[in-house]
Amino acid sequence: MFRRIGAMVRKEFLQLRRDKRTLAMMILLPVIWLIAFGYAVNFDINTIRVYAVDRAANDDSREVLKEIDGEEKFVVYGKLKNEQEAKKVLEENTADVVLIFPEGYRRMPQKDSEKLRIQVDGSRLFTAQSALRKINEVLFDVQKKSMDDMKQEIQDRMKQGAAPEMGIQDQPQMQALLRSMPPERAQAFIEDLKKTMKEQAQKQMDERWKEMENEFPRPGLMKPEVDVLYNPDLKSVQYMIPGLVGLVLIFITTLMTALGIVREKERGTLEQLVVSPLRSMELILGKLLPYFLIALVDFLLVFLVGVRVFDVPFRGDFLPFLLVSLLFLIGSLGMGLLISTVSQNQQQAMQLAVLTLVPQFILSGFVFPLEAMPWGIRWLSYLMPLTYFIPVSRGVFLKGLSPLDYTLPLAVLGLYAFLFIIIASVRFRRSLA
Amino acid sequence: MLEMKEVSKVYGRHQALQPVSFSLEKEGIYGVVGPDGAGKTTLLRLMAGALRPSSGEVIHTTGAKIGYVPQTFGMYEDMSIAENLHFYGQLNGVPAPEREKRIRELLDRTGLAPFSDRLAGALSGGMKQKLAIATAVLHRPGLVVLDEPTNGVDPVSRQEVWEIVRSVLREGTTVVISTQYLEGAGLCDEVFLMHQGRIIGRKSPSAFVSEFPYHVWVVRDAGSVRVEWLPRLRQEPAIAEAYARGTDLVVLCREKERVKEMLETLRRDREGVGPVEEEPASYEDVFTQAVKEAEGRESA
Repeated sequence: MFRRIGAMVRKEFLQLRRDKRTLAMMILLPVIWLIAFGYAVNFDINTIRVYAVDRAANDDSREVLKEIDGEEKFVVYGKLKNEQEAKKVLEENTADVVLIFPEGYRRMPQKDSEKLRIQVDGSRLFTAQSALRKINEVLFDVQKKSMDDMKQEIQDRMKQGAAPEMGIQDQPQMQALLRSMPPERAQAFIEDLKKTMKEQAQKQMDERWKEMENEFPRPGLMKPEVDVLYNPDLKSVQYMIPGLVGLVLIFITTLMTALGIVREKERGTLEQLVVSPLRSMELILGKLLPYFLIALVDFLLVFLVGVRVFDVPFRGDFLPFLLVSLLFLIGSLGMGLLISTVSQNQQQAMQLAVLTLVPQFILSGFVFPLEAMPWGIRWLSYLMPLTYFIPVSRGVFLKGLSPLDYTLPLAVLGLYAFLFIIIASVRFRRSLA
Repeated sequence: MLEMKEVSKVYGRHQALQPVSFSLEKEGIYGVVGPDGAGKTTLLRLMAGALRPSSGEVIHTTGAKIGYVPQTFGMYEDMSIAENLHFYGQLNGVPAPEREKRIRELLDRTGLAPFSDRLAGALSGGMKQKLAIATAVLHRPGLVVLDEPTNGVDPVSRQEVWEIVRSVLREGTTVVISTQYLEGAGLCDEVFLMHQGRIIGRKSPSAFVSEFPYHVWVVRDAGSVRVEWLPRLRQEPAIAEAYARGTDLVVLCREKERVKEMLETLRRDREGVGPVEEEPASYEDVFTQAVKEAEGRESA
């Protein structure tokens, strides 16, 4: 039995060595995806190009522009005359954001007409989102600074108001009183009185300031204390690579298995194998084992490049993660086998594989969060094996959890592996007959 | 060696093979002939075990050692001749030293030795068939089933394929071979004639010919009159069949002398038409007529 399976495995590798295109696909595909998802697919925009229409041309607008230009990610390219020009630069894709300062713009507006207007290009979704997020942060900082300045100004004004020039000796009653005193005493008295009154006023002012200050918002505290766990810099690559591990596994195994078996069917070699003493289970094992091994190499490749080159932290334990990945891998092999049993030729197999794999790419939560999908679509996601592997992978990679913390996904992956392999094997044996 | 008990095959709603029962007891070459769609390939695949019957039972009395050459080339085209032979040898459990020896021997016998490193996909039609047969007999099976191995092969290679088949028989392997080239049927020990999923005759080729109830008259060089004569001859009750073969006109009949006279009379009026001569029945005549009669019986 092992000799026959060994002969099949050797034959598969021999053929793969000759089939440079397939071999290249099996090794290059993960590398290309790594580069794509590691470098290219990044939702964080590094440079945001800003133009401004400054109708206000006052200190406030200049201050905001200065602040924005000072930010690392923003580059203020220049000023525009009007909204038409703003539309043009957005259309031409030479600007990511246009700021429109209305006449009479104020950092702390009192009226609608004093508000800043921002235009972004919604057709470039991620740039627009990123730009809006960043610009709001800068504006918040500017407003915070404005509030600080305002507070200082109020305090200063109150201090000035606390020391009024008091013409108390000009009052008729006071003058009558002073006249009844010897001149030296009267002078000393009036000085004393002024000092006492000033102190009293200052004290009252201080008390009122204190009361006001308690009521006054503290801009420094307005921003919440944000603690981002597991991926503190919110890097896309740390989100993508753990998912990519699963994507590579399912793509390579499903596609290659389906095509590999259908190729035998199409070329008539399967009939020869059927007539040989090779049992159907040996045939299945002999066909699946090479793809299993190649998928394992791809898995390690993505894992190592992810951890070493892209600095994705791997906080969990490797062995349990490997075991879960193998479970997922077995399910994917079964899916490939199942596709091969219902396909007559490689073209059909390819179409079917793409039909099962592309939705997994889109709906499994690999890129887009499941939570953002409407229920009608989400139940489709829950039918897909990749949907269950990705949270486990991300959990083990980034949170350092054990796969055992994910009992439900683990159970579903196990069920899928079992069902796919059993159904595919039964169907395969029947199709041989 | 092989026993078929009420074996039939149905594909969907199409009955490809009506229940057949027979056994192959003696060593020899068994030919399977019949028109396209007669069920030859289905019968052969069932005999080889490449197909499970819809009903009945296929019993290989010599054990499970079977060789099979399907109609379409079933070797790995991206592997060399030697690699294909080694792979199937391994699958069939031929131990390494014996395998080496046997492969050398088969490569020599088939004339493929100088090309053993050539990829199977780069071989000519004849070489492909020789490789397929060598692979099928590598493990010295008791029974080898060859589905039209001479199809699409040039006449010289066809001859070589038959020589290989005979050498296989000398090793004690029984051969079942289907063929469209009816002259090949003469090289068989027994022939199964098939029509519409049925075996309508099983005899030695010589018996097929000797039991043929018709005489064959050939009018030589009848090129100019064939079109004119054929419809008329076909309506003649004494004539079973008339057809053109090259420039000759072939007539099958029961009443030998009467038909000869008729042909001579027709010929006398025409210039340039050659003599009327008797010929032994060809396998083509024999099988074609048998199939026609079977069709006649079915429609009746």
